[in-house]
Amino acid sequence: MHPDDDLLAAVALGETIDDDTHQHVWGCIECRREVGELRDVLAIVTQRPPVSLTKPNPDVWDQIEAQLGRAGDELISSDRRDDRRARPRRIMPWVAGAAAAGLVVGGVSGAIIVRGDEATSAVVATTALKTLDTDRADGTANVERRGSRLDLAVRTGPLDAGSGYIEVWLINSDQKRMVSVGVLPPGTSEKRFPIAADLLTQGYLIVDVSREAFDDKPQHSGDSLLRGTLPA
Amino acid sequence: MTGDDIESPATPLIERFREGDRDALAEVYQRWSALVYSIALRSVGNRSDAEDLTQLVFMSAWRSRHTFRPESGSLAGWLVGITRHSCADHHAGRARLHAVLNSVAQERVLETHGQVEDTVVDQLVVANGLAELGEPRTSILQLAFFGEMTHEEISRRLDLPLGTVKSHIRRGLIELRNRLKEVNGDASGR
Repeated sequence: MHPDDDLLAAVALGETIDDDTHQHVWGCIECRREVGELRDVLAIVTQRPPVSLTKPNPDVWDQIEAQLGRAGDELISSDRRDDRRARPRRIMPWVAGAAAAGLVVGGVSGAIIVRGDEATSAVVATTALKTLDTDRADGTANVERRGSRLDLAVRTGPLDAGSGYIEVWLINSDQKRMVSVGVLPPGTSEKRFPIAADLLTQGYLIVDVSREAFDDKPQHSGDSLLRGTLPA
Repeated sequence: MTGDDIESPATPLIERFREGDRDALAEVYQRWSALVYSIALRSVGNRSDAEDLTQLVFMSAWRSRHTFRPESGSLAGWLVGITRHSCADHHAGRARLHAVLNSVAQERVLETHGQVEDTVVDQLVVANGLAELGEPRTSILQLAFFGEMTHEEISRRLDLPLGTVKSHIRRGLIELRNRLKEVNGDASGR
């Protein structure tokens, strides 16, 4: 009877184990191999100098989305759009305009929420989503952490997509960059979108919900329905 | 435990990815873009090219997602393979970057020039795995391996029972071993 992985790991880590286990492990080719593998991993993880993992600039993901023709492509189910060349997306003049006019009509009502249980999802930040024209609260956006993963959970009241679809964006406070977070499928008023962990620290704090047309243009339509700003 | 958490919602990530679910691509990107980018960065030596390569790798993966065979390796291993192909192409200079998109899924002989050493790739894979373990396991392993703290010190620092700390370190080490095996194509199923 081989000792379980846990015990073999203990052996690899140099922990004290009982004599029986010890004797078995060193007499058993299979267990010795296992311990050897675990020690190799230990050697890799403790190697000096440690390697650092570097995250790519968020623009890389923007480019990928732009190349894919992003959201519309899924709904239209056309692969030919994949052939489009990537192009850097420029923020629309309207955003800059909105910024100049006192930034973000839709409520700076964000607040930090105390983090909950680590194992379940914990709300890291939240904001109300408000209509741009009437400043009426019509939804919320939460940033939720679950393990190492970060989600943007968006809830809205019923939205009129017209003949297009509803898309969720994160706009940078620098007013120069934005990323598409994803699409709210027709009839959906609630959806979680995985987002890169460093988007918030990079300043992508403005949650924007827009109406988009199936027009083969990956850029923001300029037709924002709801907006809110996450606390920095 | 934590590795499973991420993939738990109903359909596994790999399946959703292969079926063309855009959210799955976002998830794949979130989990492995740092690994891909870091390998590329070491191969080409500058951010701009490494960013281009990262983009190409994920575009290639997305477009050839139907060719991915889960039975012959993990998604991470497949992405690392594509990354190596792409870096090789970059250095060979015989393929314009965009040509990689169309040919990367094909089997071909690797150029050795510009290859990142296996040991460095292993280190990066393990570093990526470490970050993915989830808390408190990631912190515990970091304190143990980089902070060079004893199990007792970690137990006091994080206010966790000693047995819990030991167990996290053992399970963490096993998980890292499994990640490395997945990437190196040695799936023993353990």
